[in-house]
Amino acid sequence: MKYKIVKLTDLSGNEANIYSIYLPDYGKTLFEIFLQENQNSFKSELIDILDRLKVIGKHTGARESYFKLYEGEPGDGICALYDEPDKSLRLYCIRYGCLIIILGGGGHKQSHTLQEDKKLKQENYFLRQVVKDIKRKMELGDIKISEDGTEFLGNLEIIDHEEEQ
Amino acid sequence: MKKNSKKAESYSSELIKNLLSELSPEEHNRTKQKMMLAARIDDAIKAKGWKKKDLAEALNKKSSVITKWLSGTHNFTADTLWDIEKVLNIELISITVHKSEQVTNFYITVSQKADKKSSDCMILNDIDELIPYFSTNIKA
Repeated sequence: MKYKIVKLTDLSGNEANIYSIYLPDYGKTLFEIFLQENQNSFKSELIDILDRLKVIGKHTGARESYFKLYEGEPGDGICALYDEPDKSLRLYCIRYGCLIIILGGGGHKQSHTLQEDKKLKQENYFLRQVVKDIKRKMELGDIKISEDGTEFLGNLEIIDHEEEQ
Repeated sequence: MKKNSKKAESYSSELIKNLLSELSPEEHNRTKQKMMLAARIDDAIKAKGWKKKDLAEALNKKSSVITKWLSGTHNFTADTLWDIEKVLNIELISITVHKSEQVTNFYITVSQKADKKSSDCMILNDIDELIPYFSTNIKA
């Protein structure tokens, strides 16, 4: 699948840049898909999520304590924006320090474990592939993070392995 | 320009804007304050060389409670904030009591000599009656 990393200007600010994954086949980002899928049933939770992301971008940065860490493989940076047990939604992100986050998708928490929840597992595992793709592009020198740690730079369009061959 | 120095494409979303438009400035400010309060506590824990579990032990709380406190989503009670202040030796709540000061000694300079016979001349016997007529020459 082909996608590209884009910066969400409505949420980014002086304290952190907030990105998402743009899917050309859908004409929108993973984060927008998450919003669309849940805005009828969980609108107030979505507004709360957006509110906190805006504070992160403009006032505080992506501090570790605002996230549930270790939601992916060890060291890959996959996390979830902190959600209390009584909240319904989970949003997966990739955190590159306090200055950069990539918003993925997520969904309604229905099971106790990730493996039991098909939708959340799908979203989580897609981000694991994104992490691997970014890592590969960094090793090739196609992508880097700016010296001040605030920006992704380079060719941020990711082509599927099969298409590359 | 080197191939790996190009910035990411800027992307604006009508959906994000529409949802954010339902957020009042007051609600956003409240969220900001909660998250900054959490950040202040988190910084104080680190400054003390502690981890979350150390604060949990000091306050006889579960670690999960501290995690929630630092998430930026918690509504603290005043009692909890005072307990945290004491243990971390920081100020989270600022209370200032304003006291009125009583002036006991003062002098007044008069710029014009009063003419007791003038119709607009007032003779006052009580110092309080002078208050409306104080000039910038008043010193306590």
